[in-house]
Amino acid sequence: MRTSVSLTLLIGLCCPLHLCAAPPTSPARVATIPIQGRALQLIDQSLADLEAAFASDPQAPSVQRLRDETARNLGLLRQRVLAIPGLPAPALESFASGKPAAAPAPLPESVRAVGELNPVWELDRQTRGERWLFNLQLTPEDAKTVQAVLKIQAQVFGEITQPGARVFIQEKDAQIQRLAAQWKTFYESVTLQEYPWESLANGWFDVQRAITDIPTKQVKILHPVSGVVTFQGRQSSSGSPITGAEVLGLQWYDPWAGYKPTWGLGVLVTLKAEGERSSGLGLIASYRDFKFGYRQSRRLDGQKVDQAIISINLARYFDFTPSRALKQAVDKLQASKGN
Amino acid sequence: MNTETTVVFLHGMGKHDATFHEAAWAFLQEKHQSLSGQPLAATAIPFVYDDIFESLRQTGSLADLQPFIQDAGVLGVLQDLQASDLFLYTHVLDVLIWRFHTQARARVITQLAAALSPLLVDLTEGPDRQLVVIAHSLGTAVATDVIHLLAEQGVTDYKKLPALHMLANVAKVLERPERPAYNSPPEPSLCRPWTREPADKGALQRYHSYRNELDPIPLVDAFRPPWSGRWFQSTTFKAWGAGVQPHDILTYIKAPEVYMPLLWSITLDEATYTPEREQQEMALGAAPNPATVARQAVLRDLAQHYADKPGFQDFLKLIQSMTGQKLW
Repeated sequence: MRTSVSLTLLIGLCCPLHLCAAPPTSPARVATIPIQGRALQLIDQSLADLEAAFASDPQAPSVQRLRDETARNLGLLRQRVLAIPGLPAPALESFASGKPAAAPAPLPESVRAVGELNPVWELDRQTRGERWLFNLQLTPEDAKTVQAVLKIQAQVFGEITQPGARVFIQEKDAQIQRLAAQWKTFYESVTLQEYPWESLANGWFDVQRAITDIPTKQVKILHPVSGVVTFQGRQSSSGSPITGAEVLGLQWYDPWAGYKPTWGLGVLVTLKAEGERSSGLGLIASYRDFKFGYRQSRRLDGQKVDQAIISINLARYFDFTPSRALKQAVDKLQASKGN
Repeated sequence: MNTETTVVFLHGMGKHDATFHEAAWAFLQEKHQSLSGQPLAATAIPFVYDDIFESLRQTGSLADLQPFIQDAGVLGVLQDLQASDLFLYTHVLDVLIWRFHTQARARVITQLAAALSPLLVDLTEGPDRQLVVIAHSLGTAVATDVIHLLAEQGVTDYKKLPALHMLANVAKVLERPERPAYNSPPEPSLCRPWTREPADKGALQRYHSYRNELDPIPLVDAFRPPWSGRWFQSTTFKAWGAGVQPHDILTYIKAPEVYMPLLWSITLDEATYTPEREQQEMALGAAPNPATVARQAVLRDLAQHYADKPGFQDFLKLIQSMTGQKLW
């Protein structure tokens, strides 16, 4: 049961208003603007038809409720059509009279509210179903009133609610599709790259966050880090590998670039290295997958040592070929990681 | 009127692929053919979200969850389960991921919402379009959040989802404090029948909830919303299933109390799916054999013990008990 004829009629009537050439970015106007005048006529006619069918229906007692609910829905629909704010009167009058307006007024966005007409037109089938389901009396399919309601439904649906609603709901659908695509990217680029305790903790922090608000930063907890020492106090020697963890840190992501990591900052604890008395403590910053940081530890003789640290990626990026020790450290770290 | 109906299936706990619904769908097709003499003119679409859980299962272990679960009872269950050889890893982990892993849950909800949303758009093609969602077990909790998101975003503002069938409904026991299934405050889920007032955001035309009395799973913190009976139907029945266990989706689907309303909402064929016919179908149910009678007693004990227990940890303990007694 499609009423494509009605839709064609509506689109045809749009043309005098010069709306057919609307850009593809605003299809809602074509679908929603012309309903008001025609809609009111159709609703009033539908109410009259319903009353006529019911008055002459020999099975009237068994369809009383269907008639009541249909009349109520038509009334609700009428109120909502009338309540559409900001529809310019000349355009409406010209539509109702079928004559083109002399100068079409600019049409406000608020007419999109037509899409929110709501499903006031769903009850007839559900009512019949309800009667079956709850052991109430079945509605006779051949009753005049039922036939009138089905016809009214098709007309009202096709000419009033469907065109605007479809545009409205398509826009909502597009939002949902975008949201799902963003979450997919976030989940694959961020969640699955985190350690499970990190993603759980981040989720726990975000438990009150709306699902439509995808995080752009994440807390790092006990996140393993490896790097190489590039500069060590006043001594010239460098190049020892460092392994440890970002005990607590914050990492930002770029939602416009597939949730790639951008800046990060964290507190670093490193394991005791050769020739050291204790594990080291420091700070680490990152950009993309490059890391650079500062670490302080204590040597066996008790002297404090300050060290600058960079990640393997950064070491390779700068290509520290002059430093044999650094190169060896990078190779050693990579070998230990199985690369 | 030729109705074009789409039927969406959402699976429950455990591993599932895109064929999980086939046995249930084949049964419905066969049953409709035998009852009406007509083929079932509807399209079935399985919604699979297990792949998202699977990706997480591969990144960590149950132990990783422990620092984030403060409830001593839940922790105790976890420790028992880890020590048990019979631990059904995926079932419990699925429930825990769903309940505690915010990001995985958001990923599941948005993926399924994106799959369901175009089907709701299709409903605007005309009154001859129908959409029926059938969710089972954990899938009922998933469906609740998916449909809530769609309603919240306005996808159901115009066309409500015609029928939602929740088999072994656990939406209440798996609800989260920030989004209760039906109690308030805070604002409960919009996955509820529409009140028929134009401004109401309720997402559904009709909500059906089913519980097999021999299935203890939906007994824990059972789903009992304060909704009007006009648009909400809660059905309890007793069914064994053929050699399977009473929580299985097939056990539910094969109960006349389930497939009769379900086929009605798929076909809208009121001549075939009458209350009288449903009574006749129920009378045809086979008596359980001696082997199942013994299991029935065990399950009845479990059901009595866990009936209306209020907490999530009881839900996990029940899964543990059923696993230990090989009742899956």
